[in-house]
Amino acid sequence: MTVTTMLLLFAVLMALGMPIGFAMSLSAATVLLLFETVPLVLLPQLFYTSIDNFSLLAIPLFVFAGALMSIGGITDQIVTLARAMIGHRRGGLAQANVVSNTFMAAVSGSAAADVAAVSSIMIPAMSKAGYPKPFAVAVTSSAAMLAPVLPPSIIAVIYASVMGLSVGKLFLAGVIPGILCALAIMALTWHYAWRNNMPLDARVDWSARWQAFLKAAPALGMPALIIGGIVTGIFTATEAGAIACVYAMIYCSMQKKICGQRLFDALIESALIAGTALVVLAGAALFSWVLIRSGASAGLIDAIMGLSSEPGVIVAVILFVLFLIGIFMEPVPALVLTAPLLSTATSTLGLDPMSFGIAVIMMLIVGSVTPPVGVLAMIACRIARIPYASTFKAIIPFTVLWLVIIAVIVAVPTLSNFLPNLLTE
Amino acid sequence: MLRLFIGLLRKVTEALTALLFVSFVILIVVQVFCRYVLNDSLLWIEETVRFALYWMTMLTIALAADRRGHIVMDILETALGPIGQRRLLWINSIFSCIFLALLGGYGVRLIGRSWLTMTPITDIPMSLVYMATPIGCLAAIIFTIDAAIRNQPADLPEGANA
Repeated sequence: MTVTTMLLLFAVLMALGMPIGFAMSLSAATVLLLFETVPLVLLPQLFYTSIDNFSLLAIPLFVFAGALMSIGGITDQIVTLARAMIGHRRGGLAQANVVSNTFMAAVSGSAAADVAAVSSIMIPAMSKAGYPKPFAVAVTSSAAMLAPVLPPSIIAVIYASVMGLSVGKLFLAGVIPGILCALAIMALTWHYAWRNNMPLDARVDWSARWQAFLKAAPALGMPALIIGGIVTGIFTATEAGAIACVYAMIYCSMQKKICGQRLFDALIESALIAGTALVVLAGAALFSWVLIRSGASAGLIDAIMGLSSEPGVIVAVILFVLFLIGIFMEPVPALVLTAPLLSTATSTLGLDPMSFGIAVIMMLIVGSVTPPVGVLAMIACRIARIPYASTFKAIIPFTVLWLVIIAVIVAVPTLSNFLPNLLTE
Repeated sequence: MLRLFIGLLRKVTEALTALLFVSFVILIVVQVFCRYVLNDSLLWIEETVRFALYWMTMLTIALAADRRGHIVMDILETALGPIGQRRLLWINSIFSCIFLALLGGYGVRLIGRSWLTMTPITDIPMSLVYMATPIGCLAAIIFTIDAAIRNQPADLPEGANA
């Protein structure tokens, strides 16, 4: 009775459009007031303990570092470099788009920020060069999905903290799968460009390429600093976030693009992005507590575990469930809601925590490009000025490709484990 | 007068949020510097920045309420016309205020219970940390009602946390 009422109440409040973190806590608090004798002082207590974690500081820090790099003009520099390097090849502009998104992903932790930044430059350019706009939207939004896979990643920080993993190791675990995804998206893009005889950019001479590289080098130094610092053990992921902020601040000063008001605005925007994610995490605390206490979580987990004796089948079912949830819900609340299931699956089935973690993160982000509410594609469509529905056909091949790569990552854990193992050694 | 008060509250909340943010960046960089250059780890820094993060999160609850920037599922809102959207905004604002009042109200009780508890490393009363809850909730209630009166459109793009 308690759990059914809570879930129903949560579904209604969430459908009404109440903040998801509030809806979870309010539905849990209501059933505790109605049916239980638990003191509700537990609500603020759990709200606090779920945020009281040093690792979570990485979220605001990396968001802020990404925002500063954006103010410093990183998007222009990276796009110019990518076009100079590979723009003259078949489908070069689309390839440069993927490469730009990959580098942006390695600097910022937010796919929405990346897709907005890259789309505003690349989609008009691709459209002018003769690429169909739906294809331009599909390439840009699919490549933007790399942001949560490649470090730094907001979702990876939350996943690591709810699952008790090292944020630094999970960051490193995303590097090879992220690069693999970028290469696969480039291969698909090349195939499309070759089949449709897409145009080429003019070839740029080596001195112009060198100039473009020199201009972009300070921006490219940031991912090297983050990954290098974590791999060598000089600093933790959270400390890497603070160092990235200082680096980004110096970068902005060098570009002469920083002023007091912009800095203040970037601080507030970054705090808001991080704060709203943390509110979902904190809001889920009492909700999860009720689910676990009532035994409903264990019941659901037992039911899923009992589906098959084959771990591979159960993993496929869990990933499919995540895909369905991710279609309707943003990655952070979807992850927080399913965390108990994921945690039990990892321990009971003896799954590799790193590769499974990366697969989960990748699965949750797919919903950001697929209908009905693919927010990344929607942002790109707004910039391209085309209806979202016109892009569905172009997006499908990229979505299928992404799902295939997830299967490969689950099947070959070494792809995710290679770099984290270097850290252990 | 009321507008002036809300404007002032917004400025103070934003300034405190920015101050807390800058404080973690500086403190964590100092920690790395002390560990690698001075070979001395400062234990109080980790505890202080965790408390600062909690305070900042509670303040952003208020700021996000002001801009309607919380993570929501807006399928219903987008399907409605302007009048329906306005009514829905009021319904959600009322439920949000009920939640914030519960969190803030019980937050005050938690402060009462933890008055004598000291933090392990910095040795400050735990109630100073917990105080963020009612303060953040009270500011959030004010901003939620104000945003409903102003019919504030949703601000942050969906998927900002993707």
